[in-house]
Amino acid sequence: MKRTPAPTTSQANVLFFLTAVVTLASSIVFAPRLGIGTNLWINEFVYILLPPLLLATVQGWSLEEVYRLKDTSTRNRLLSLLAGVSLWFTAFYLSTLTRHFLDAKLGVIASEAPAAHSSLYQTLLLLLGMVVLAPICEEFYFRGFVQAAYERYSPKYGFVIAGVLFGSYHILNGLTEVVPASMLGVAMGYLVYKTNSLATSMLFHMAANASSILFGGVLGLSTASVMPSWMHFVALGGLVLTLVLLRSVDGQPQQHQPRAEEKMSPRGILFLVLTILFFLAAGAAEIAARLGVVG
Amino acid sequence: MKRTVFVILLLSLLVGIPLMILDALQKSQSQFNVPDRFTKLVVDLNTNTKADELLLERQLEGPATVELFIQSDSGSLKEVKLVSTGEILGLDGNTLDFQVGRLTGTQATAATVLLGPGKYALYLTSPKQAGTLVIGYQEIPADPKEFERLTKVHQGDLDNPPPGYRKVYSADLRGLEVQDELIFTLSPTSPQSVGISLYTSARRGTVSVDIVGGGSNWLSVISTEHRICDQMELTLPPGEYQIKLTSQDADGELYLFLKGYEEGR
Repeated sequence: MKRTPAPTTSQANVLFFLTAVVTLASSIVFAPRLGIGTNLWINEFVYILLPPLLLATVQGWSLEEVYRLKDTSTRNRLLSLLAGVSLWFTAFYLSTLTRHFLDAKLGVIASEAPAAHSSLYQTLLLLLGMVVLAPICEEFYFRGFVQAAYERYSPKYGFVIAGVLFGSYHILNGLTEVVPASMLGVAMGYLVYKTNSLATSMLFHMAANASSILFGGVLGLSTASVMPSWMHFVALGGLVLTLVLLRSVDGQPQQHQPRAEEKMSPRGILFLVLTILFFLAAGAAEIAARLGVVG
Repeated sequence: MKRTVFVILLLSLLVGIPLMILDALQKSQSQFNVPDRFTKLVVDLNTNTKADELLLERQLEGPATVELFIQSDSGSLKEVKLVSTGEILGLDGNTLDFQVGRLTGTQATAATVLLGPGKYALYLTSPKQAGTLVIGYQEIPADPKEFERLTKVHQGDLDNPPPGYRKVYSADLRGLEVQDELIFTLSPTSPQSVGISLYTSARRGTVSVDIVGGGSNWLSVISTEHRICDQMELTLPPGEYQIKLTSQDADGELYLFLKGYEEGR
């Protein structure tokens, strides 16, 4: 394997495509048999954390310098946590709006209520997976590895591309998740871009996922058939507050900036196209299911 | 930071792997026996008190036979309710209730209903209790012609037997006051497979048809609440089987069709 000083877009695109395909295939096999909690752990550890970790070992990359696995100030940590909570409301609002729109225009997708799958152990695995594992593993992958690669392609807007890739990956959870997850991804990417620390995005991600459990699950927002009217204001307020919080974060952008722009190789372009086609197929499958064309 | 992250991941594994093992052990010790052809819903009854909690919502694009197979390892009564936006053929309303107690191993509450296109949902009412409820469900698309035929029966046009069936009995139930009246006798002299279709349009009073004999009883094959028994296949050893009708203060009609029964065989 050819050694590179840092991740390239070609490496990122190949790995991203393989991760998306394998995660979906594996979930189809394991989720009904082992439970959704265990399935989440397999996805996070095996397909999301392990590949960039192995690649870093093979390539001899420093996790601190290349993946920015380093700490930040207490102030930045606190601001990241608060931003994660506040932006979750906006993301939830967008997700619900999209769901209502798709339900009205394309039909409802048949689904089983979450309670139907729960066993105590699976519930604990799911909670731990969402609040601890997913934020660490996914940030390692998307902000540590993918964003590092795309910042070589576009030093200024690499975090935006990585954020959109993060959002598009969530099409595997449903069309409704793409826009909100992209928004969260861009915000987390910005934190890492600005602070040069993966700790900020991990904490943001933890706060957002914990909010999803607390406000979405425990308070019943996720299962409410009609969105409460105050959500319109909370969603807007959440967005404004997040922008203020993100601007308030202490920046250290210069440490990872002086890189030459890298062109994307033909192989990188090919795998990016394949990934887009794969996600389009996943989206089309959901649309077909909503229209009742497939079961 | 790197050390902290890897310590958290390691601790997560130390907690997560035992949870996965415990979950797998619990599954392997399951007392439930839902046949593989069913899609399974497993509900933990110990999370909270459930009052008409939605368990499942499905969309039927066309008419379908929906089979349910319900088991539970907890003793308290639980109510599972099937609600359909389409018609449930043979039933008065669009709701079907199941009372589920402790049913494990080979015991289960099972039902087969023919639903029209639309949504159907399953709801659960249960106190918080230790234990699990397992619901197996299966949807089999119905032949549109068969659905059309049974819709006619459902709407009161009972003289619509399935192909191959012949009418052996019919009665106008208005003013008919009978208790366990013999309406037909099956007397196979060798093992015989018999198809039985019984329909009634009675919506009030008491109507029940029982099949008794040969050491086996099929009680209340139909009633005013379940008005269609379609193509029930029985393999009858030699003996005498009596089909008995009870009708009190009823309205409507009753039709009995048989397939494959040859007298004296």
